[in-house]
Amino acid sequence: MLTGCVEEYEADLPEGETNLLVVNGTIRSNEKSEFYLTRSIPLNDHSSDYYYVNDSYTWDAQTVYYARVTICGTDGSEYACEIQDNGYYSCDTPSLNPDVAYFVRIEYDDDIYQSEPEKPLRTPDIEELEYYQKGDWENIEILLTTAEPDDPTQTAYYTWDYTETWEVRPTRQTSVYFDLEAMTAKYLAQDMLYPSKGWKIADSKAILTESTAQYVGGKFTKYQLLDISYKDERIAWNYCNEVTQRAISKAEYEYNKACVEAGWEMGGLFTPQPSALPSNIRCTTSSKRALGFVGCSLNTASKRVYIDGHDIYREVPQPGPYIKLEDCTELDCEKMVYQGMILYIWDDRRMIYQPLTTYWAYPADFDVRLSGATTTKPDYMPPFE
Amino acid sequence: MACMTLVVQNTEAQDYFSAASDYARLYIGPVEPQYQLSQWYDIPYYKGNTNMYKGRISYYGVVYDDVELRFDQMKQHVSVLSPKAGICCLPDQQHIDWFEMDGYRFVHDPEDSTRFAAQLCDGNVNGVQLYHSMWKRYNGEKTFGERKLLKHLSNLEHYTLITPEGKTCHVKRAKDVAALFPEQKKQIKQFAKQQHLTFTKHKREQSLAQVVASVIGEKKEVVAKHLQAETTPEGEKNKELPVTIEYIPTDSLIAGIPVLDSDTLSITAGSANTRTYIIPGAKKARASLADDQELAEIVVVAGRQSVVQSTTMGAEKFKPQLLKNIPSAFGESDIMKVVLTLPGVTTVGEASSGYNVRGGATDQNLILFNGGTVYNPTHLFGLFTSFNSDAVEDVELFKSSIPAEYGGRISSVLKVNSKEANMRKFTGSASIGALTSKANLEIPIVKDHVSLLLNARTTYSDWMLKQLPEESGYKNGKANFYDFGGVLTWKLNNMHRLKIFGYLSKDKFSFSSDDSYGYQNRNFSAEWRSILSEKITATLTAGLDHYDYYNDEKAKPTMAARLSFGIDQLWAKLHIRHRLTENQSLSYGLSVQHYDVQSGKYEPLSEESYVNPDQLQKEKALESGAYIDYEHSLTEKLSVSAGLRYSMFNAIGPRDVNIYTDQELPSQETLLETRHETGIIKTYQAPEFRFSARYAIQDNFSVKAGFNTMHQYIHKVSNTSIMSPTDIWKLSDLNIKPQNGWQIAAGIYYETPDKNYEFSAETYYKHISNYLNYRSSAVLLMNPHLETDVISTKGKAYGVELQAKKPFGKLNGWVSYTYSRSLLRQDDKRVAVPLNNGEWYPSEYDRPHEVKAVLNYKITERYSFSSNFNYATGRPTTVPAGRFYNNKLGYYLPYYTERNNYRIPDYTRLDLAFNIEPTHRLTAFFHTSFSIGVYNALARKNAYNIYYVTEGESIKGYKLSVFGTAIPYISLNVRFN
Repeated sequence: MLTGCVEEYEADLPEGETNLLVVNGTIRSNEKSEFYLTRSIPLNDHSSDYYYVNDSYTWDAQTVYYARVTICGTDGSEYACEIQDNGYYSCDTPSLNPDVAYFVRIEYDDDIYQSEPEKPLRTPDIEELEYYQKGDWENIEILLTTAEPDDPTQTAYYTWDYTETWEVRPTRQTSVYFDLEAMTAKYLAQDMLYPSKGWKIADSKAILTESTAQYVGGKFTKYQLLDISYKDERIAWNYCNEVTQRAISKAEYEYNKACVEAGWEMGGLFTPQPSALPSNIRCTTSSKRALGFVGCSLNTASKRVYIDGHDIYREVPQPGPYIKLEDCTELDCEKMVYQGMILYIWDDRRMIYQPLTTYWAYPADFDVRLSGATTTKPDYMPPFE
Repeated sequence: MACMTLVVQNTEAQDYFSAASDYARLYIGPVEPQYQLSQWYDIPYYKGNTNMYKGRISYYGVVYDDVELRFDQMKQHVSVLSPKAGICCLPDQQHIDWFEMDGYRFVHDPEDSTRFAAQLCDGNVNGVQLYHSMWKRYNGEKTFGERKLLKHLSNLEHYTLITPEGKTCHVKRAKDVAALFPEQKKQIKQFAKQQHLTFTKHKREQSLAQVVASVIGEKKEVVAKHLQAETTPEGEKNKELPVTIEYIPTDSLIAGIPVLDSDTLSITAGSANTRTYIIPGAKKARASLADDQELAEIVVVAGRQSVVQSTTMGAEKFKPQLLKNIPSAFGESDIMKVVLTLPGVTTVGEASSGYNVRGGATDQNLILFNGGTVYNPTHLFGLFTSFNSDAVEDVELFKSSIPAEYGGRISSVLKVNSKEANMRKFTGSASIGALTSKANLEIPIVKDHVSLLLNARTTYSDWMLKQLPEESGYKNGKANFYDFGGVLTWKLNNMHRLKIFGYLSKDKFSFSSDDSYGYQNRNFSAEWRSILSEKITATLTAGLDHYDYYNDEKAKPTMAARLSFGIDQLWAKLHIRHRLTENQSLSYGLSVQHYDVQSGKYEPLSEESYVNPDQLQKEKALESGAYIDYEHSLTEKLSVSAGLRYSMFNAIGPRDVNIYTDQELPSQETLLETRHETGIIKTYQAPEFRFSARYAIQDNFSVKAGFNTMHQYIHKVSNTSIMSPTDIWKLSDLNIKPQNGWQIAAGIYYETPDKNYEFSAETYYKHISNYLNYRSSAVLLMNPHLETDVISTKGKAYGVELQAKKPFGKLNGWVSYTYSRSLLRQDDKRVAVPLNNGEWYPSEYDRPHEVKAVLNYKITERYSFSSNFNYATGRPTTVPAGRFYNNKLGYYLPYYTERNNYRIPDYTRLDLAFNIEPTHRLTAFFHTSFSIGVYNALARKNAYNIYYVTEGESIKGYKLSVFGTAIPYISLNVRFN
């Protein structure tokens, strides 16, 4: 009865302010500070996502390449940033003075933009990073406990990034292959065998931000950072998550929250009305708007958590589909090879007047590299040598 | 002899909003048995047809205007057509004092009181009375050819003349009259001859009337008289007697005194569009005064005045019976939905809690239920109102001329009054709908003195959520509510009455197992009403209101928590109405209410949870008001009303108070200190003015104007476009000023001479200051520094409301068109980047064009068809200005610059209903009725909102419609008595 309540809608939207400068980044003490500059584009204009270079179209996020970006301190200190190949402006920032507020100055398109000056914030350590599984068939939670803050009565705001590394193993093994020249199956040489393990590395693609306003002692205790399904490939064997914690200002927290919510469904009955992003970038030379946020931190804290797949309840990834060829010929096998299939069982009984039976599967079942894994084991991954 | 008289004049029983409607005593009676037309040769109704004649009737001394009447000349009874149910009822014929139809006034035949006679001459001129009585006698069956079943009637009639001496004679021609007045015999005969009068059957009546008029005699003193008073047997002395008062000139009546007997009159004295009068100089009052009181005879002239006559403007009053014929979602009659059919009342969308009156926000409407404040008047996310329509006596909405007795909100007052249970008879009703069922019991405890009304309603709405598609995320949701209500009435005597009200409503719903919401309203109040003297009536009310909500979040066990909010309000009010003279009246009183707001509480839901229990400090305040309202009819044409309310608000401690730098916006940076204060922390006080005037250009044509100022000390802080279950209310304090507003309005009103049509045009301009708007990314929940996240905003609203109403007839209803604007502006110089660059921008409820039509067509007495049409310009919403790449997320996000910069598509909805009254046997214990209808008959997917979501690399626009299709319904109502 109530179906069809939500449907796609092409609105003839009013022309809004676009081509705004968007700045995101963090001024980091004793680390590389990076800033990414782009321009905003109309909502329905997809032509500007790509640019034509060297006879092909390349995707681009309207990166700003010709700006002058400088980290400035209210004490007069300045550190110039250089454009990198990846479009980021960066500089190796020296140790910052905790009593000085810092901001970035961007000279672009005959205008000067500045972020609100912020004093570098000290980040407490991560006291504990652990995992927890309530029982069988339950998901695995990554829980974080922060160290005691300097002032437990004050609300602290954090953002977290993490890098996950996990071991992957092929779901099938094979010791044979079909040689197209010989038109028969042959054993793989030792150096041709598919790797038995691989490692995948992924950075977080989410904004994780939270305030301690509602938590005991102004710190997080067993705060659930991540929830991983027990069927997930990541925790099948060995898993490592390195979490980097950074204390942020209330303003940056609000900006992060606003970004998270901007991508959500905003049209529900009780969802808040959308509102402007609480950016901290201002154009000082004209009334142009700018988007983005530049924070400032004195340090970051990192910690790793390891999960051995054998210690938890999990489901190991299952192999994909296979093709069984009964009473086949070499020509049939040749076709399978050309179709990209991998031979893993060769049961030739023709000598005893029985048919040739072969089994074939997709390469991704055999070669972990095809799914993005590297065969170079990161030094922080178990089992350690 | 002391006479007890109760006369109600100007009662437009047929009016939809009339106080005296189907529940008026006139319509409480058995259904008139129907004749089978095929079996009757000569139908015995007046003039031989089944037509109803529009006329007047005096019943129990109460005069009802514009009543549809039918006179059965064989049974000598009069039936009346009830205006809502369309049923022909038979009032108690003994208590019909007279009725007028087809140009005649019929009274009880002086020779035989079981018959009615047309009064041709009433003795008012020369003391001579002349009556024409006509009745039919059943002579059994008679065969007319093949039509053996046809029945035969014979006509009997005669003219009765009563001389000034009381001698009764039958007359047929001039000589019969002349014989009764021997001294004028010659003149009478000469007169007949000169006038060429003939006394044939068809001319007799006219000629006799002329002859009688020519008789010279002494004017007969017409006073209230008991027709049977002198002959009443001793044992029947205490029995109510039919009483007649005739020809009381309306202008001799005095306005002012209300009555306690609402069971007969069904009015609330002093409310908009009603008027009560007393007749000076007489003795006792049946309606209002105790038998042992030797006070003025009270004649209550009540009923709704037409909008042309009342002084107030922008006020609407209706009874829940009106709901019966208005189609509604799921067949649930809902008083709030009727409010939405009135011009000037809008909502942001379907299933929206709250409503907007003349460009005001939802929190600027005061909703009073038996005097107590209801903070969340809805069930099921706004699908239904909290008020059980079966238990509601009447509803009154003030949009502009808000009486001085009300304060605390700047846009409107909606007053909902509970029914009072029947004092004599155990009655009740029940109904079953698609989503809800309800029951209502009226229990007389001590006959005529104590009664109890109980009502309850519950839902079984989970099935509705199960119909939702899996991807909606709500398929496994649950939604439940119930409400209970009760009214205990104790009528000590006709001078004093006590009412005790109780109300509880609870809602609980969850869209998944990870979260759940709940809220409840509780109201308890008592009302003592006394007639202190002939001129003074006092009403003392006191009560306790409570509202709270909670939101449980259980998605992450270590963070499982409950967020809750609550408000308690203890209040009392003394209202005195004082009639100064015939043309002047005064109302004055005092009101006080104590607020206790639990601004927020956060607590862990389980032992696993590491959430820190937290509680915002309580906010307390005292709001008091003294008011006086003066009404004066300066001339017949000009009436004025002037009111003054002085309101005072004291924010009281103990509590911590944040002190910020002067002339700076409150923020973390400008916070100077936090002080702990006790006693009165901050006081706001201000006078509020209420003026209105009416000038009657003609009897049926008037112009009115009004001006009022209002203050509001409690604010709803919300960043949703509708009232949400997690909205919080914030009291004014050191950092948050009260909202204030003023409104000026003018109108022109016309009623056709036959009162069949009413036309009105009203225009208004409203200004609002210190409206609390939220800033971008505001944190509104559990925020101890809420003042840093809200910015006071100005508002203005203006518009024109045109309405045409046809209150009676086969086709009745109203059509209205409203042009209105509602704009906001953030021009506080302290705000660095004000919303929309500090320019005026439309509010979420700005809907410039609105057309509403509620039409009912009565096909027969049993079948009726009703419709409700609504068109409105799409409401403003905020859409993205563009998109930007977020390198952290790796995709584009929309961004917003201007608030409310786009309008969703226009809203159009048509609802249809077909109503069936299956039985006319009101004498039966049960009376059932059905309603079959379809809500949103055009199956339009009216947009509730337009929003944008990031999906992969693109940002897609979506339209949300609350009702995606037409929704048929059937509802069954059972009434028993």
